[in-house]
Formats: sequence, C-alpha cells, structure tokens
Amino acid sequence: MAAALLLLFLLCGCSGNDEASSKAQANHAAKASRTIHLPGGDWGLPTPFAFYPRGPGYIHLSFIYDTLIWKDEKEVIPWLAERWESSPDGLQWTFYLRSGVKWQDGKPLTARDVCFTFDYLRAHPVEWFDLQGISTVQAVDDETLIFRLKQPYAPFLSRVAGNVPIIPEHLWKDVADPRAISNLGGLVGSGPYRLTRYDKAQGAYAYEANPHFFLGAPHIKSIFFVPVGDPVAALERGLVDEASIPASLLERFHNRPDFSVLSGPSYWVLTLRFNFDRHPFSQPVVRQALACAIDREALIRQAVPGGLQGAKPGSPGFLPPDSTWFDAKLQGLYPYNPAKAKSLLQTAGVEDRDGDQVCEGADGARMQFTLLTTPQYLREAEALQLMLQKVGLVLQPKAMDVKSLDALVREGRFDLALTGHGGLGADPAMIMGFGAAANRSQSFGTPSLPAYRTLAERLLASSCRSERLELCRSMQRLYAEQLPTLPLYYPIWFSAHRSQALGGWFYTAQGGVGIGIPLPYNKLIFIRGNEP
Amino acid sequence: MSRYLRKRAATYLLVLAVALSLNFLLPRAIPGNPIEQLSSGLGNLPIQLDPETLGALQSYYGLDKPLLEQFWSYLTGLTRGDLGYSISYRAPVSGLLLDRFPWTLLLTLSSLFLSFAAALLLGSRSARKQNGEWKVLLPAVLFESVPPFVLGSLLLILLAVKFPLFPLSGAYSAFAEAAGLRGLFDVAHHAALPVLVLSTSSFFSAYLVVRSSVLLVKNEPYVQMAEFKGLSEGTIRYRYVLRTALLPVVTFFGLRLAYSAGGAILVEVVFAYPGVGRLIYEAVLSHDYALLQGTFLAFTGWVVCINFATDCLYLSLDPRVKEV
Repeated sequence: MAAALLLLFLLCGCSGNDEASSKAQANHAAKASRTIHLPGGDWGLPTPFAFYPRGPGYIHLSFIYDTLIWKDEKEVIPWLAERWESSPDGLQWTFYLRSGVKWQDGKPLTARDVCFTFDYLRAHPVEWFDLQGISTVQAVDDETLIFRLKQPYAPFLSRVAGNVPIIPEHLWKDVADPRAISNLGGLVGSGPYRLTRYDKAQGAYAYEANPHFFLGAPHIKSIFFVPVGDPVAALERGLVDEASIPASLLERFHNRPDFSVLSGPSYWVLTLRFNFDRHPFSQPVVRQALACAIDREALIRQAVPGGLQGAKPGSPGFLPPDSTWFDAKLQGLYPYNPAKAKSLLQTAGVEDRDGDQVCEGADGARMQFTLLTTPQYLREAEALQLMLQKVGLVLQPKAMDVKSLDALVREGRFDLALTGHGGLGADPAMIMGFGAAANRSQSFGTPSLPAYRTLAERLLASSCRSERLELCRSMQRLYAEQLPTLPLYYPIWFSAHRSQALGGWFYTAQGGVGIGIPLPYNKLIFIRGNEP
Repeated sequence: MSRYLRKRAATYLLVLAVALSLNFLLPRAIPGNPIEQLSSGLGNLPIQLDPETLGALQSYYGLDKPLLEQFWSYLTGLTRGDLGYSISYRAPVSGLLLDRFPWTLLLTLSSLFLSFAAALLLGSRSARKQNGEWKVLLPAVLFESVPPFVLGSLLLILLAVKFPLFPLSGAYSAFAEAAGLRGLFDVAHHAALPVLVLSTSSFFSAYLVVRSSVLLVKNEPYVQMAEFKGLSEGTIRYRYVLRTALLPVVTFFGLRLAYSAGGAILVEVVFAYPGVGRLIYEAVLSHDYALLQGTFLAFTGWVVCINFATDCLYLSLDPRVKEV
C-alpha cells in the first residue's frame, strides 16, 4: 500500500513539478500580455439579480456594469454621468450623461436606459439596491435625467448614483424573471470588462477587456479569478498576483522585493453587544462600567499571537478614527479603570455582597452571563472574561456560527454578544442613524432615545456639510453616553501583491467601492494599470 | 425479490420518509432565516432590508407561506424532481447537486477502492502470522485517530506549499482547456492528495477487519481439511478463506462507503474541492433551507442505496441470510 502510494506520489509529483514550473513561466508570459490572476470564489453570476449580495459579488458586477458616478482613492468622480447637480431643497437631482457611451454590443447608452433600470429594479427588487426614497426618474433627453425624491436624502450619491448598475433596456425589457437568467450572452453592460467564462462549481471567472470602453481600452487585458483554498499560499506559489493577508502573516511579505504590501482602513468594528431588555444591561451606567473595565489596547495585543497590527481601539462614539466624521474628543471618554468600573456598578446596585468575588444585583441574583461569540473571536472572548472577572462579573463564552449568533441577537435571545460588522466608511446617516430614522430593525444597536432619532432624521435630510458634521458629532456624543454597543477595536486590512504584475493598487475613498466595500479591487486599478 | 429484501426495502422507504421530514424541519429550527442571512455576517457589509423588499423576497422564495404549505410544495416538487431553489447560490438545487456529485463520487469511490484493495491484499497476507500485532496496530491506531482534515491540512502544507508538487485546491486547473489524456491527468493530479487522505483514513480500519476476519476463518475445520488435501496456499487463501472472511468486510465496506461521503465534507473544504461535501458545509453556514434539504436528501438517498446494495450483496455471499 505504502509503496503504491509512494509511486502515485512520485508520478504525480514529478509531473506536478513540471506543471508548476510551466505555470510559473506562463505567469511571466501572461504578465507581458497584461493579465492578472486574483483569488476566486463563487459570488454568483454577475448580473444585478443573480450576484450574491456581498462585497465580492458587487465587485464582479462592477467590472461589467457601470454606475452614474464612481469613486477613486480620494473622492467621488464622474462616471457615466459627467456632471450632476441637486436642487436647493435636495429633492431633485439632475445628471448629465457622457455622450457617445456604448453598450458592449455596440448600441448607444441613453438616459432612457437609466430610467428603465430604476423602473425594472423596482419591479424586481434586489436587497443590495436601496430605491426607497426615489419618487420618479425621468429622461429629459438622451443625455439628461432627473431624479425626484420623496424626501431629501443626503447619501443619495453614494447609495444610489454610485451603487445602482445601469442595465440595457433592449436586452432586459422582455425578461420576466431576471433571477433565472443564466447565460453569459445576456451579460452586456457598458463597463470595462466582459465575462467570458464562469465556473460556478469552482468559483472561477475570466474577464476580457472591452476595447470600446468609454475611457479607452483598459490597461489589463484579462482578469482571471481562480479558485484558491488558501489565498496566501496561492500568492506565494505564484498562482495569484494579489491576496488579502491577515495581520499575523504580515512578516512574511515585509522586505521582499517581489511583493508590495498595501494597507487600508477596514471600516470594520468588533463590538460588544448588550441586551437592553435584560438586567442589568438596561442601565446605561452598567454599560459605561463595562467600558471602563475593558482594556481595549490589551485586547488588540491579545487578539492574535503577536498582536493585531495596526488595529485601533474602539471609540465609544462608534465611528472609527479613519472616518472623516470621527469625533476625536470621545476616544478617551472611558479609559481602562477597574476601580471606576466597580464604583459605577455600585451606583447601579451591582456589587459583591457576600465576598465571593462575584457581584450580585439588588435582588441578590449572581451577575453571571453568557457571552455569545464566533470561534474566530474566542481569544477576545476569553480576554473579556478575564477582564470582567476582575470587576466581579462572570462571563461564559459560547461559540457558534455567525449566522446563528446574528439571529439570536436580532431576536433578543442573548445577554452579551461579541460580534462585528463592516460598512463604517459609509455615510454616517446610514451607518449611525438609518435604523433609528426609519424606525427599522436596529441591527446596529442604536440608542433608542427620541433625541437621537431626531438627530438621525436631520442628518439623513441635511445636505450642508458643516451642519451634518455637527449633527454627526452630537450623535456620537449621545452614542458614547448611551453605549448601545461598545466598539472594541477597528482592524486594518492588508493586501500583498506581486510588484511585477501591476502597480497602482489602492483602497477606495469613503469606505470602499460602491456603498463601502473595503476590497482593493476597484475597476479603476485595472483600467489605469499604473505599471511600476 | 426475496421476502428478506422486500422487508429491507420497506424499512428503507420508511427511513427515507422520516429523513425527508427531518430534512425539512431541522434547517428551519436553526435561528434566523435565509433572507435575513443575506444581510448579515462578519466581515460583510450590513444591508438594511426595508420591509417591502423583505416581503417581496420572502414571497418570491415562498417563505411567507405557512410551514405545512411549504412542506407540501416541497413534497410535490420532489415528485417532479424539483429540489427547490438555493437562495445563497441563486440556482436550482438539483443543478448544483448534479454539478457537484460526480466530484464527490470520484473522491470517495477511488479512495475506498484503493484502500480496500490494498487492505484485502495486505490483510490476508499478514494474517499468515499471528504474532507481531503491534507492527500493525500502532500505525492503525495512529492513522485511525487522526481526523482526515488534519491529515489533509498537513499534507497540503507539506506537498502543496512547502514542496509545491500538487495543486493547492480545486478539481481541475481553471481555464486550462485541457482535453483528452491531459485533462484526465489534470483531474487525477488535483484528486491525488484528497484521495490519498481519504484512503489513508479508511485503509487501516479495513486492513484490521480483513486481518481479524481471515484469522478467524483460517482455523475453521474446512480450511484445515483443504490443507490436508494438499491444495496450494493461494487457492486456500483466496478461494477458501477469503470468500468466507469477506462477509464482515462487505458490511464494513458498505458502512465506510456510506460514511465516506460525510468524511469527505471537511477534506473537500480543506482542498476547496467542488464536491457535495463542500456544498453542504456552505449550505449550513448560509442557512440555505432548500440547499440543506437537497444535500441532506442526496446523502440520505446515498446511504439508503448503499445499505440496500450491501444487503443484496450479502445475500449472494451468504445464502443463510434468506432464512432470516
């Protein structure tokens, strides 16, 4: 048996070596022909109706379809629309399209296509596209269109104009069930790339440049998303040219001439969620006590062996220091101070009455809680357990899969939960106040004060930057007082790429691509292709 | 069909019916539902679903209907061969299963045949001597107790990362357009490590079963009789001993075959192999009801079919079973 296996090994191994070297050669040849390989994974067929509503799914979509505006590394830039304006009351937005833009099948793209897109998306809703506030979309002529809103909506540019992909009327108007479309022939956009191959089972995509793209033929001619088990191993083996790398593996790519490392804010937060409906977390002072009892700097050091490089401690005001809306004054509001935590707990009637090092409530109940978490954050959960033990609170970490945790939190079946989410770079009206303003599911745990809700509504409607900044600061102050969740840390994303393959990588401004996808796959990188 | 087989078939039908109901109910007992799952998850952008979109999506996927009605439409769908529509994959479940099943079949069948062929050959040979058991038991216990995915990860690091002899992942090279013999070789090259892991994990237990069964049969009077008749060692070993000794091996093979699909789940995840195992793993993570139902049903069908086939095989190997 062993001999047979060894033989199999050698047989496959020898030729495997040949194949690996031929692959490496092919890779070099490919570089000359401006080809790039990226880590794949199945994110659905990139149509606005079949893509999986996650960041990478939208990235695929963005290669084929264009939006009215786009973002580069600094700001919002014109895209299908070359300019735009809004009425003083913020209820009407006018967009002027570039002239001469064509679909990939050669037909002209007009304002009517844009109107059709919004009508069609309303008839066939997709969770990713938020069209709630739009009253009508009207084409004035082939290159001008007007959006009328039901109420002023500050994040209109990022949530709608920079997010909704425009689809061709002539191909979609007769499609009754857009989710059932499965052929590549139907994937005609105006974007820089066309999908030529899609392998759902393996999660592989092949894109070819669209030579008639309105900004000129893209620099990178072919993009391949290939299946990889472990992206970092694939990057080192030369199977892909770029991969996101965890902070713990950063060392391997430092000081290497063949690799460059890029870092960018993750706009992601690990938070401690409190169940407001359960004693004693219903009292703000108890939540503040926990903020004082948790050493957030130490948590970052303990999160991974060697510390989570570049991560910043959570701000009680929720928004990260990388956000332009961040209120720096709040950062030091609850410094690590177990003694203060104990005295705050005492004011809420929580103290150790029988000398067993564990606090009891006013009714004598032991302060013992379950801390829900995912296996990925068990280290943090255990660190929290030790920190809170010092102030007399007993935590029992319980790990489960993230979907179950989310559902239990949503249904209020928890004491404390350690969980995180991204999207913090989006407009603060969305990330801090949307749930409150629209009275929708409070998935971020926003304060349930009427004052906070009023601020959120004003922030959503105001279009004056300085007024919005002030409103946002007030919201952060209320948030820090109420602490509906306690932000623990904001990590940093790292991406390593082969220096020879392509330069000019960047993380997109204002939280990331589209509504805030913090991945370095902005299509502009491949269009521009600043070769080193 | 014998009375025995009819009884067995009836039992399996009952098992299938119970499994169908469980497959339907269990996924729905996990907290959350697949629509809500679309909008959440660590590292993902939280999407706030407004009530209208939520309602539209729920009615599109038929999740707004009462549970009994959903179960009924699931059953009537099954009679038409319709396994439902996967929300997370945005595709019909039957298509997804058909795409993935051959890959799992390739891994499990080739690893089992490899390991059992080796076990039969080596097990019956090693049974000649009854001493030196530790030489067999030590590696057997060691390899039997290492979970396949741990062995898989170790081999992957060693033979695909440190010494890049094998592909890191997948079932074939993406966009290689290899056809004919080259294509076949490409598939074999990708399957080599997962098959090696799965065979190693089933080889030693099969080897022990063969060995102990042969040892038991070897001392039967009819074998001694054959020896007295002066028959050759090969004839005695393969025609007299092995045929009788095969009975427990067949049962064990059936069990392993049924179990192998489950064992392949994590190996497929480690090697990013596009089989049904990985599909189940992803379906569980995304709480995708239709996909969970479909994949569990496929697994139930797989186990039931194999058990039935084992029963049939048993019947032809041991005629005494008919009388039971």
